[in-house]
Amino acid sequence: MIDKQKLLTHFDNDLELLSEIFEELRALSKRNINLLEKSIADKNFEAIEREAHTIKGACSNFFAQKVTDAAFVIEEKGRSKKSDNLENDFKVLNELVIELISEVELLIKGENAA
Amino acid sequence: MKKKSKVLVVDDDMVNGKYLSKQLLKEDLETEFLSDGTKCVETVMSGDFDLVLLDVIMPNITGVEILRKLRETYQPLELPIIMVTARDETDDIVEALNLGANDYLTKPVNVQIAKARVSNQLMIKNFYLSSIEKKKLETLNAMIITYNHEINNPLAIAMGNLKENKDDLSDKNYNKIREAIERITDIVKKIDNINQGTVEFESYAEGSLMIKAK
Repeated sequence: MIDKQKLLTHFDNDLELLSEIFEELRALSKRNINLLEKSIADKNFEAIEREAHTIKGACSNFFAQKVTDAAFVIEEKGRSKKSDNLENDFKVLNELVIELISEVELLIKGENAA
Repeated sequence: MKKKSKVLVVDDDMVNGKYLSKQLLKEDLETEFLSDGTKCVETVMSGDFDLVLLDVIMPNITGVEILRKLRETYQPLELPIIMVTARDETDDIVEALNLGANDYLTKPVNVQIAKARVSNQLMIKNFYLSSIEKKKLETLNAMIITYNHEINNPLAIAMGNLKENKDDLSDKNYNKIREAIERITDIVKKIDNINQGTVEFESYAEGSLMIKAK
C-alpha cells in the first residue's frame, strides 16, 4: 500500500524521525477514527468533514494514496452533507488505516534491523 | 553569534505539524509547534517569531481567519506567513494570498520545497530589516553632520566672539556682542526646530545627508 521509497525520502531516511511521527499517526488514527465514527452516527456533517480531512492530511505524509482517497470521499460527503453509503465508506477507511499502520510498523522494524 | 530565526508551525494535525517542525529544526531554525489555532495570535504576539507556517483547515478557527487577524498588526514583510493547504483547497489559497499570505505549501509537504520557501521569505524579511537599519544609520549620520555644521561650529564662533568682547562694552564692540547673541539665538531656534521634527534631509556631500532645520 505505501510507497516505501517516497516515504523514506520524505523523511530523509531518518528512521528516528519516521518512528516519532509514526507514533503521532498511530495516536491520531485511533482518536480521529473514533471521532469520525461518532460523527457519522450523529450525522454531524461538519465534524465528518473535519475528521476525515485530518485523517487525510496525516496519512498523506505516509504516501498511502488509497487511504487518502478513501478519506477524501468521506470528507467530500461531509462537505456536501450526503450520508449515502457513509457507514461503508468509513468501514473501508478504517480497514485501510489499520493496514497502513501495520505496513509502516513493519517497514520501521525492517529498516531498523537492516 | 547569529540569532536563529524562529518559526511557528500551526497545525491541528499533529503528524504534519510535528513533521514540519522537526524537519525545519535540521535547517538550523528554532521552531515551535502549536496544535491549537485559537492560541495562534496570542502566541505570535508574545513570541518574537520570524515566520509562521499556518494550516488552513483547523477546528474552531481557520487559518484564513488567523491570517486576517495577524495582518491587522503585522505587514507581510514584518511577519511572513506561509499557508499550508491540501491540494484541493484552491479557493482558500487564493483568498489567503489576497489577504496577505506570503506563500503557500501543499500537503503532503515536500520538505525541500518547504525549506526553500521558508528560506526565501526569511531572506526577504532580513533584507527589509537591514534596509530599515541602514535608514536609521543614515539618519544618525545626518544628525552628526547637522550637529557639527549647523550647531557646533557656528556656536563655537559665536561663543568665541562673545568671550573676546565681553569685557569691553564700548560702542565699538556693542555690535559684535549683539551679533554673537543673535547667532546664539538662531542656533537655539534650530535646536528647537530639530527637536520638534520640522526638518528636511539635504545633500551635504556625496553619499552623505544632513538634517536641515526648515
